[in-house]
Amino acid sequence: MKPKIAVGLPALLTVVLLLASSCQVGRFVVRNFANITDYRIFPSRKLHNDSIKFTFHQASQSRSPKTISTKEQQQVSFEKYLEDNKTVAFLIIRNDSILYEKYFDKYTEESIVASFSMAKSVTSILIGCALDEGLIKSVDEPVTNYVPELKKNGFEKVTLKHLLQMTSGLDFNESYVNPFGDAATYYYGRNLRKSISKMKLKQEPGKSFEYVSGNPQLLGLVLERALKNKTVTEYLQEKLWQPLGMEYDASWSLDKKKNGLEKTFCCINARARDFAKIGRLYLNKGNWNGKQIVSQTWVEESTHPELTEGGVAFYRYQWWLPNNKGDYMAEGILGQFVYVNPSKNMIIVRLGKKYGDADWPNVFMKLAAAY
Amino acid sequence: MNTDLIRNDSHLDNLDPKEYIIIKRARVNNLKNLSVAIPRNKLVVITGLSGSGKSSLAFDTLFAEGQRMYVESLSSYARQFLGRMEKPDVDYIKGVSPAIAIEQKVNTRNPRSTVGTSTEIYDYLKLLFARIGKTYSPISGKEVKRDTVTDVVNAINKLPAGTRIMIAAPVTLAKGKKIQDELNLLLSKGFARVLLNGETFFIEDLLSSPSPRPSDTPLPRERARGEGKKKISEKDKIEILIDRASVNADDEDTIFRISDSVQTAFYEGHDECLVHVEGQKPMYFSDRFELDGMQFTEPSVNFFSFNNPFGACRTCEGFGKVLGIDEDLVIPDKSLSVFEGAIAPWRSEAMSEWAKPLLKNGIKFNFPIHRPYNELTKKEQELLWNGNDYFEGIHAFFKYLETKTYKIQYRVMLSRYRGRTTCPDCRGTKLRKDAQYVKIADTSITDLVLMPIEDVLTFFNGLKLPDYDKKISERILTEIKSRLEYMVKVGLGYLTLNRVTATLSGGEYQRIKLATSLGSALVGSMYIMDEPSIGLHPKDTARMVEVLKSLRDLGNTVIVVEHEEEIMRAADEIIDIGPDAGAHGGELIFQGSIKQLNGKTTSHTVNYLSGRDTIAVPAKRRKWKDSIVIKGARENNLKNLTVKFPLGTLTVVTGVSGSGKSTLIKKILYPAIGRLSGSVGESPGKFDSMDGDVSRITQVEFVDQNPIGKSSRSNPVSYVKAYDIIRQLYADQPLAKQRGYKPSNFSFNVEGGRCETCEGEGEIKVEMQFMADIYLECESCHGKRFKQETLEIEYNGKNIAEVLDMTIEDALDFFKDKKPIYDKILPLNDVGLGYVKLGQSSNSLSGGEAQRVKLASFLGKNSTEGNILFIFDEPTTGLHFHDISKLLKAMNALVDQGHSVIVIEHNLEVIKCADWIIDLGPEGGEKKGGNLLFEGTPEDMVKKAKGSYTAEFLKEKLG
Repeated sequence: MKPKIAVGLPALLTVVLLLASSCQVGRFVVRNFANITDYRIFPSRKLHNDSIKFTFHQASQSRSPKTISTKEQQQVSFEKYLEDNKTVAFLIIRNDSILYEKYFDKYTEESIVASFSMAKSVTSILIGCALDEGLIKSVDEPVTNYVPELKKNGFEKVTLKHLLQMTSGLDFNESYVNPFGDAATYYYGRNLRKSISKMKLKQEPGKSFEYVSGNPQLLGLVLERALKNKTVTEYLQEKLWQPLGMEYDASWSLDKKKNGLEKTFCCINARARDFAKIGRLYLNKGNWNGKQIVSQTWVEESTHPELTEGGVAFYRYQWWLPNNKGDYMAEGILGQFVYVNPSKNMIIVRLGKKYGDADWPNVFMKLAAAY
Repeated sequence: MNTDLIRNDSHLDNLDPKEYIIIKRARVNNLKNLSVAIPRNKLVVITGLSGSGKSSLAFDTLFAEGQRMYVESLSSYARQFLGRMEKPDVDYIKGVSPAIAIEQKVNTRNPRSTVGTSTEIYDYLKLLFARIGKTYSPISGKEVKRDTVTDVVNAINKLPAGTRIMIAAPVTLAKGKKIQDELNLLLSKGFARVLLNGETFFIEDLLSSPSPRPSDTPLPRERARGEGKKKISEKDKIEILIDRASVNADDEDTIFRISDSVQTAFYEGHDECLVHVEGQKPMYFSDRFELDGMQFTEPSVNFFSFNNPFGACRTCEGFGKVLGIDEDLVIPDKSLSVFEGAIAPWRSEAMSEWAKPLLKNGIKFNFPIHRPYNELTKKEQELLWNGNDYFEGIHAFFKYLETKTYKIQYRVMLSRYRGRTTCPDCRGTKLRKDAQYVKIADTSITDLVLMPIEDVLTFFNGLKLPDYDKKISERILTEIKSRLEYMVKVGLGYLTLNRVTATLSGGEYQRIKLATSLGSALVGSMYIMDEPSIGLHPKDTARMVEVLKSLRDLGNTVIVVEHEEEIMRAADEIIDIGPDAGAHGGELIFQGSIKQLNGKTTSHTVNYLSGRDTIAVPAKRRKWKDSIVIKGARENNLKNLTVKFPLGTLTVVTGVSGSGKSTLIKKILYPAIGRLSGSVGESPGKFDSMDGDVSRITQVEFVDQNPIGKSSRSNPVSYVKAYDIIRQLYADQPLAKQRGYKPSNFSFNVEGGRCETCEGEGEIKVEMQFMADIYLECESCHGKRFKQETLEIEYNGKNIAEVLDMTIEDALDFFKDKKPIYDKILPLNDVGLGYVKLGQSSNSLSGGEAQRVKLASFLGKNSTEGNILFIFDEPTTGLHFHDISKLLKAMNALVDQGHSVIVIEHNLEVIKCADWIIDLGPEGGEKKGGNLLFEGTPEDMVKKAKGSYTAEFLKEKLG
């Protein structure tokens, strides 16, 4: 955590800016760009591990990657490559066995790392669960069924599917470097519900794809309303954290301490192995050791592209599709990944302090091909 | 030798091991005390049904012994690295020669091994280019030459006699060195004069006075004494005057002196030398290998060796591929035009902004936006990538994305289009770029390795060389040509030398090794081959026979495991193992030449070959009404074909290799129908339309020879969905219930009941660095793949591991009162896989076996609903006649259930049983293939088809 006092001049600037905008600009100036330790400064709700833990089998004899070629065609050791590119955790799991597990830069298997946008994919799973339970009727429902206050802003035509596929036409500035941008408002802001009520459209829904965090955040509010008297975190606890036998406690960051809303576009704070279990759930088509957690059709829909209504080949319900071979992944801004390769029965988790100078999806695909 | 002798094996003891390879009482695998004497230096075919024990005899007994004997002959020190080799279970084997097995396994995964290197052709090409290749400058196209002293002297001697010349060497000042110092140095070396901008001066004068006096003989220009002031600066061109002479070509002393001076000039001038001639521009010579200001490297063998850092391409480090934007991913369907969205990343709404300027302005620079990408000229295609004043190209688009990678969506987009692409510098040949400047007859080594071998052979056959080069290269050329010829003979003329070995099919690889063996001219060896005829059209088989015979005629024993009739007929001796597969096989049924085939016997092979057993020609061909018509098929070499595919029949598509069969079916028909039903994602190749009764087809299934699962975890019994029921059966056993086992406990894919040491693999892989990986049986489960507790659950006295180890035939008996299981595995037996084990991992199944497992899974569904169109790709590969008749029965059963079957096939037994034949040809390749020769019934084909190889061969069959 950066000390707040050490920012004399910016702090001075902040005073001026505070008058003009809300407090998130100040926090942006102080904290600047998102950091994997940010979870410490945000209020959050706790997730508790289960008494019966699921652990991946540790492969005794495993083949692990030895070297990798860089962009410059240099052969370097795989570990050095990970380290040079600011990785803090790297896990390769195949046939339920951990084939490779390494932590870097003082990080260990017990270190918490913020998920960033990987939380979007988790939000999508929870929407699927809510559909299974009939709390949400259909993805074709208009969002205004749950968030009627957006009617005044012309959101009647926006369906949940549009939000899931990032085709809502939302007017949202996704820049991560602009302190006045919407991404900063949502990341540092202290009243998400109020910010959501001010959302606007810049385009007809169902026209084109644009990856913006407003969509999953709106889904978060929809979920909260659909759940009625449960928080989103409680639902995550009930649907995933407990049944998946997570090994560690975790948390989901909120906008404010009292009656806060989960930042469903980012910020689930957990450990690498537990993130891998989310991949395993989808690898097994929503089934966890015999219990169907989320319906198989939802998993299949979520991970296969739909090209109509502005949909794109590389994205579906909050999951990235890095090729046309059925692989999918959750990704966060600093190169947090849960990559799933069904044909190889494989999960790769990469967490990092920075994205680094690597084409991670290609690294994963190459690794998968090597097994 | 006749069959009576074989029963009693005591006579074997008296045979001469110099004439026979004698095997007495082999008991390997299913062999039943089999004794046989194989004559040496003959072409011997071992045949029998699949699973009868052919390979056990040829590979596990003969070859294994040959190998073992070789290893035994090594020192004990060397042996410790090779591991102990088991002696085959046999009384004795006498007369084994050094054994060379040519199997169908592609053993090399080395990305650097190519067809060129593994046939040794490339080694000879390297040598050839290093010796007689000429380097041409890519700038002027002129030959790069180094000027030797002799070259300079010759040039001087060509001048008219008496011409006065000066031999000089240019002075290049080393950085930070003063002219004065340099001149002092020259003076001390004994040089007296220099040329300053073409004028002669004494060095002494230049050093002493600010306005030096030109030396006494002002050459080449007459100049007044003491004229002008001379101050030397760094900009002046200074040359050392080495010598002055007048040309006299007849005087040896003069020539000797000039040579000496030129030598000195080259030394002093750092490989450069100038010859000033009165009234002419100075002649420039260089002892360096350069032209047009470019420095070249003199060709050597290493220069052409991509496995050597010296010769490897700098850009891709000798791999031939670099990580870049993959054209195939960016333009996945090359039959689309730019207007139709050929450029995949520009299809989405947001990215279409990039395509708009091109679509709008295309007319201004004459760009055909409606023409399919693959019909654009090379220049037009490049324009799309590079862009021009009106629009930004694909390269610029990806550059833009790279600047925006802070957005996740652009990062993922980039990842989707990145892949291993052909290295732009070496064109995938892995060779340094300047190796392409070295040419023979205007062709570089890169050009040659990218050509089909046929064309390379044509090139060398038509090669005309100057006498000098001819003499140098004579021996090399013989080697190259003979190897190329063998490659063409074994039917591999269509491969390029650059093709990576790891990407070859098993059959191709085997034939390469065969061609290489011929080239190496080894004698007195024992070659053991596994079905070399796989993938060959009958037309090519004849040439294959020739090759096998020439291998024998070199003085080798050639033992071939084979089903192909033509090769059997060509054999000196046939050994038939049988009579049936698995436990019912393993006996010697027949041995002798084809002429001795008579008398009643249990040998299926003999019965087929002698014509007693035949695959009957169907009494009548099925009539059909409905059909699917493909119009205007133009993909690859297809020549705008319109083809009718009847439904409800057994249709065979045939033609020689490369005639376009696969293109028509796999690239057009299958995806076109599959797209309608949504089951196939890939878009079909170029064709105009598909008409006819397409709506009658509810589903299309492509039954290819690809493995049913790449992992060692899938197996036949799980593929036909019988394993689920078997697991349930085990979970229902009292002991299992008592212990609370679930069906998943009997799976080796998930944790629970499987052995965790090997994770259910049954074996553990040990990496051996530079040698092939070694698989060891798992120590804790001994290859059984399950934990001891799991194995305690038994059904009818057998545990789950024992069940997986049963052959399908045995399992049918074992599960005969468990109808659901019996019904699921029965089709496997019906397609002739009774000898396969239930749990045999699918990666150990041959392509043909995998295909039949797939077929069985369809038969097992017994789905009379709907009309499925089945497409089979060469299903008879690896099948004995007897098995082919089983396969035909199974395929006919599908048709009788109301489905349609289309088979791509060379095998005449299948062709003759077709209801309808579609024949493409007449030859393979771009020019001679791709025409529709015939469509109709087999009878009509024999009568009507002209110029079809298939028709000629079929005539004999229908006789």
